[in-house]
Amino acid sequence: MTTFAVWAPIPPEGIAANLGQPEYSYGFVLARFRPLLEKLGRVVAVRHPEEADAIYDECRRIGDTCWFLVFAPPHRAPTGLRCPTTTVFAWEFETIPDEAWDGEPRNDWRSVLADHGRAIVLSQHTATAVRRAMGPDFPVAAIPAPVYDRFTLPPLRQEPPLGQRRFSVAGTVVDNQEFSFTDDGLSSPQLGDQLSHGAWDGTRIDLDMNAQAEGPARLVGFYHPEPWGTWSRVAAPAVLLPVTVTGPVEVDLVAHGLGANAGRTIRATLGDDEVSFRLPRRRGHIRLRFDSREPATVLQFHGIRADVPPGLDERTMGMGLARLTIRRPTPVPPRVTAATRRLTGRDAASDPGLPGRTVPINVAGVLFTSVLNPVDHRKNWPDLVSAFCWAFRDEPRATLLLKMTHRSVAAYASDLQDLLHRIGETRCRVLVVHGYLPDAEYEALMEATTFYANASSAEGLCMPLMEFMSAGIPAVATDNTAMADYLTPAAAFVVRSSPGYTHWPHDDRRMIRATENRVDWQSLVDAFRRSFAVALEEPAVYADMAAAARATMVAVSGDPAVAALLRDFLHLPDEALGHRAEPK
Amino acid sequence: MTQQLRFLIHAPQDAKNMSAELGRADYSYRFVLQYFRPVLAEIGTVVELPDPHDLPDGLPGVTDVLLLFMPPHQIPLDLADRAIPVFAWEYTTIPTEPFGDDPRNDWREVLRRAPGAITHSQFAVTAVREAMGADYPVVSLPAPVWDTYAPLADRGPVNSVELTGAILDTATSDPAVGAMPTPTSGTTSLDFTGPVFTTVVNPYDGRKVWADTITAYVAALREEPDATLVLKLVHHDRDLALAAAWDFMHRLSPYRCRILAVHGYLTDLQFAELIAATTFVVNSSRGEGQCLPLMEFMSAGVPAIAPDHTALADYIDADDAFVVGSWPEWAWWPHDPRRFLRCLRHPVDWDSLRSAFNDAHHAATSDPGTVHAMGVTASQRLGSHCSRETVTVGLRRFLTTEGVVRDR
Repeated sequence: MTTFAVWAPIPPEGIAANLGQPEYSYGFVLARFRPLLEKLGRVVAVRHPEEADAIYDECRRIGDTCWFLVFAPPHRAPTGLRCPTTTVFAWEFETIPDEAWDGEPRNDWRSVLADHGRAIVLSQHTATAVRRAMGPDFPVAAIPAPVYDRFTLPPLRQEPPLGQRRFSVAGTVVDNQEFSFTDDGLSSPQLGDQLSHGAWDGTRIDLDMNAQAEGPARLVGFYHPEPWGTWSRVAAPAVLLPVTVTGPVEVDLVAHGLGANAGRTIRATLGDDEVSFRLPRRRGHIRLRFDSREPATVLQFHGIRADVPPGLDERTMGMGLARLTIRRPTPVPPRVTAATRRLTGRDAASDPGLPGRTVPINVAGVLFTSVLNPVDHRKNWPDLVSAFCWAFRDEPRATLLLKMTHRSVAAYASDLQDLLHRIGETRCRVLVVHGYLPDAEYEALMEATTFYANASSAEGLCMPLMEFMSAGIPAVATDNTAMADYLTPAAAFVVRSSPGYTHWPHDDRRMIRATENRVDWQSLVDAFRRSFAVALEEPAVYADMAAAARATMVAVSGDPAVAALLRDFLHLPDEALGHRAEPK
Repeated sequence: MTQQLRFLIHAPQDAKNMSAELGRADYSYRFVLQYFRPVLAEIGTVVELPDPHDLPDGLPGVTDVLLLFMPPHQIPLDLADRAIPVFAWEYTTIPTEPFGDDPRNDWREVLRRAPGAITHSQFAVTAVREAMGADYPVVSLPAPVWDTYAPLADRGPVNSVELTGAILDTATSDPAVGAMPTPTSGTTSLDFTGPVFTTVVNPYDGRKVWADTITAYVAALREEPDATLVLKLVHHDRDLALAAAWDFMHRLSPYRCRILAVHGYLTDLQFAELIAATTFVVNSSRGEGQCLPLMEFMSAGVPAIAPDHTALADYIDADDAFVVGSWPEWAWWPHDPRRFLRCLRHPVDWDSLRSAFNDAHHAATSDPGTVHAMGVTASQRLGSHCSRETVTVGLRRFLTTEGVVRDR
């Protein structure tokens, strides 16, 4: 019998709390492989890589085979173990790191791969990259995650879903059709509430506005943050507070005025209260005292000069903002705090995400869905949104749903608001869903989806695309890197992309060592339009594409196909084969 | 034209300070004005106004034509009904929203009152007409640069130049070293052994654009020690400009091809020498209102590596350039602080730029006759595009358009 010791930096059970964090997706990969590994042998998840040797020794004692499968990039993988080890990793560049930096020899992946003597990767593109660095004879196998058999798949669709559909998600939903737009920002009756954790319990709240912090997510009408903080873009920028505030409150700013706004007196409003203050020339502390009778979630500034000065670049010089602190002017009796906590049912300061609630979603017409990590720039979601809105700005029958996979809405909310604001009103609908979807809700979302949309510049595998294709959903997608293994015009409207320069994502030196693809925006627009027309006018073509999508996935990521690759590459003994349940 | 014309002309900023202002947004309007002077002098008299409001007294029998070299949103409203804006534009739509409480930001407000408008490309003419109507009096008159540079087209091979300014040179400083070396200063003599690719860039104006050039160059010609890329940096802050260049020169290492970053205000003779030593002039922009450097180099018989979008469509094709692919994407009018997505720009296809460097290098080293012929074509085409004669004819015709010259 074969024993598989398995390890991922963030194990599957930790995914929900770590969505979007570095290496979280290896937990997903392990979760997809594990049921198949269990058919091929015994699976033991280890908490620390060093534990693998003890399992190996035990297996040897009783004459069993043992493999240690490390679901992590090579620089996170252990070396020098007695147990035969292979990483299972995704990589989206045509070069693998072949030099060491930061005093970490494992950053030269060749040292790790040579120690293991083999590697499993998830795509042919990565296998080629490994062979390029390790030599043509190095044992490397492209084995995609066995996705196809992991879901309860619906019957193959004979026509595109177009009618009224209703499903629900646990989480937060942002809908561009609920916004009203002005030059200074966008507002929606729900937006403030959705980004708010509920009533404030009086605990001091600090929001840092630098590029590493989550504060900038709550800004409307500001530029992308820099290491020191950020500065405003429009005349009346705003901060969406993480809590709903009523009554006396002190707001401390670390701020200054830039250009013509240095020394300028501006106004700030919170609920029904308003104060004036002067923006200092140099960054300094400013204390604003409000006493709003209305519950308020938006702190807005007014009267900033926002014209583009002649000069170096085309950005306005408004108000610089480095930090914002909210606190009660006087201590609040503890029982009040406790009562507020009971009412809101949570401690706002300790919850970086958003309140979970089940939200029904009604859609009609053509639904394009994408499931992605919004802080992974390779997912390229701003292009997805802008090309969609350009293609369908006058088309109410088109909806784009982005299911954001990240633990914190703050990580992308400001970029999302900024983009939607700059696009303005459209007749097409953009829905952004924030939350972790259990399998049943995920399957309901698949069922409602007409096309899966993916504008990735590079992928090591792209499991959501494979999952939707498994469900028989045609795609609008780029065919670069790993997608080349399974995406063809038979099942997808292929979006053109071509290489551009980049650096390896974990290389802080940013040495230019790799290429990643840039998406041809016009091609993405065209693919949206063509797919929409096919869904509405050519149901037979759509049905053929749905069938092709599923057929491809059976062949690529069905359990029998993946099991065969694993057995071949790991030389699994006959005994292990005997334990294999026949895949369906 | 029967009546006598007096051109009253103005561009923002003072000519004395041009080198200090290099790289700032308005500097090119100044250059354009200078280029137009001889053409205007051909047709009438010319008076430059330090302040566009200080209009001189009228002269009997003389009709004044007020040309303001600035975008429409900068035209003073009280002059709007007599000023003809002369402006560059590289987006598919002109601004049609009065943002920031300034009605002029809706260009239609200004153009509707103006006698007409002069821009520098057919692309911009199309954008203006789409907003103003097909019969709106707008003309494309590129800056007449050709006559100044065309004589260089007859040059023999030039393999060395002397440049005054701060220079970073990978032939003398190892780019693998992270810290920026001290740039050479004063006048430096530089020798070239193979093809020279030159690009004139402001490293802080659309950062991605010149980064595309330097990265595509190294990606294409990493192992070619005879190739040289000259980055002629246009920016008022020497240290900032050089630091931005070195950042990429270092992060691309190792490579055997050569990169030179030059910061300084070259004399006319030095600029002519640089042009003469250049094999290909390179442009990788997302949009051009006309592109003076490209027109100057090409007038001098230097073929290009460039996309054929926006204004470049008027003079770039496969006969005078290695054409770089591009695609449209949603963008904003550059002076709109809201950054609302209202127009398209045209980023280049980096892979196509890389191929163009490869193809150009291959042609220069194995088929110099073809490269020479492309240069001859370039100079001829620019001659028909932007010679003084062409622009004079175009301007005369425009001035006869009804309503453009207004007697008062």
